[in-house]
Amino acid sequence: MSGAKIEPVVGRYMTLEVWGRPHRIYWEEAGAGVPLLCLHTAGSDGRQYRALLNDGDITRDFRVIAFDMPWHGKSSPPAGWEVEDYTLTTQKYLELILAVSSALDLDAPVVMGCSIGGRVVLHLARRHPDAVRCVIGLQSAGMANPYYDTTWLYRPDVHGAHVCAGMVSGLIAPTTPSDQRWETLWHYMQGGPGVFEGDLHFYTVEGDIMDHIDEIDTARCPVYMLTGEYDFSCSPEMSKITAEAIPGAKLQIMKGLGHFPMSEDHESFKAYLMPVLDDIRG
Amino acid sequence: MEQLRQIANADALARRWGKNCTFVMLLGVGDENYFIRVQDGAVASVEAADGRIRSWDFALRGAASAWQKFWEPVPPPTFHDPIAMRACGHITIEGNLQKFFSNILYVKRLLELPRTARDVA
Repeated sequence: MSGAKIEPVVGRYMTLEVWGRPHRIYWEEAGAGVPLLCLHTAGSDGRQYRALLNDGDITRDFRVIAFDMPWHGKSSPPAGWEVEDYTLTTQKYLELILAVSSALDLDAPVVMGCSIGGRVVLHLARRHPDAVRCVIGLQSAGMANPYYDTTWLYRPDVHGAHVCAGMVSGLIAPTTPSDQRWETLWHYMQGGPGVFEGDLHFYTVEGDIMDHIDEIDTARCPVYMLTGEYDFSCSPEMSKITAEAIPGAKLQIMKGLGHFPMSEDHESFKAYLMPVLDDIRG
Repeated sequence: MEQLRQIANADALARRWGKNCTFVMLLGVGDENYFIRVQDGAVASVEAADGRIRSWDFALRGAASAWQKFWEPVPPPTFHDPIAMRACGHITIEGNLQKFFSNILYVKRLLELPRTARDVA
């Protein structure tokens, strides 16, 4: 007997036609029941949902699925990437989420996204309310407040791993357990060159939804929002402004958490997430 | 501030992330300015400004009250991180930003070390 602890999480690959050509997509999943499709933050990957995938209280009733976006984690960039710049847009992001959901034959999944994922679920609720059961926006706001020049994230004279981790480390709450803090940063250190910056194009430049935020119909697609108090990129105030513009949206501010609630402190996050999941399960 | 040199050079995180870091940082705490000289990942000197003209690579300056909040054991939101403090208008960051961003993990560790040691700074 080795004593190894084998997790219930299973990882697989698919080749998916998206963004006009085939992409090899990696996803992990665990559990059974209501599909819960999880979207990682800019410049990171699906490993952020590791604790969720391993939590029997959640996987008992939910089929938890976390995929790596193309260019992220184990999802490779497409052939020819070496002569391209990666740039995420609202349209591409929505197409990807719907394609993955369709490929996995998910029946009106709950879609939960963090940061850029928290933004895109608002677009999803507005434009595809019948394709999802409801959305959960983590660190979600309809707008961004850029506080630095994102070109610093990808320059030959600055180490990308150091600067990407260094710029997001302050988004983590100071009370976060050290091991979860540094695992969250490790994901950022492993991002491909220019990918974090390419994601932020959607977050800070192109993906603002405030001009159309009141078109979200929460009777067709309920909107839940959870925001950590230490996040200054998507601040509690920005989430409040967003939630107040969506009739019926339910926002909770999370104490002692920052921009990466699912990976920086799962136990604290779980205390806020479970009532939402209970509400969805009915 | 002499304690900072000792604490930093004995700190495992600072030693790990300071590898190959060389720079001079000006730390402005209210009216007090400190020149922190780092050579190959170790703090070589911490000196209070004495009126002489000196060069530095980058400077972080803010009110003493802002830094005091930053150095609380559990700092409040917007005061918990140098970038957060800059984004929320509590401090300024200026100078050679290539040097700042290149050394950001070490700089951040250096700045937060006084949290672990009372009577420093």
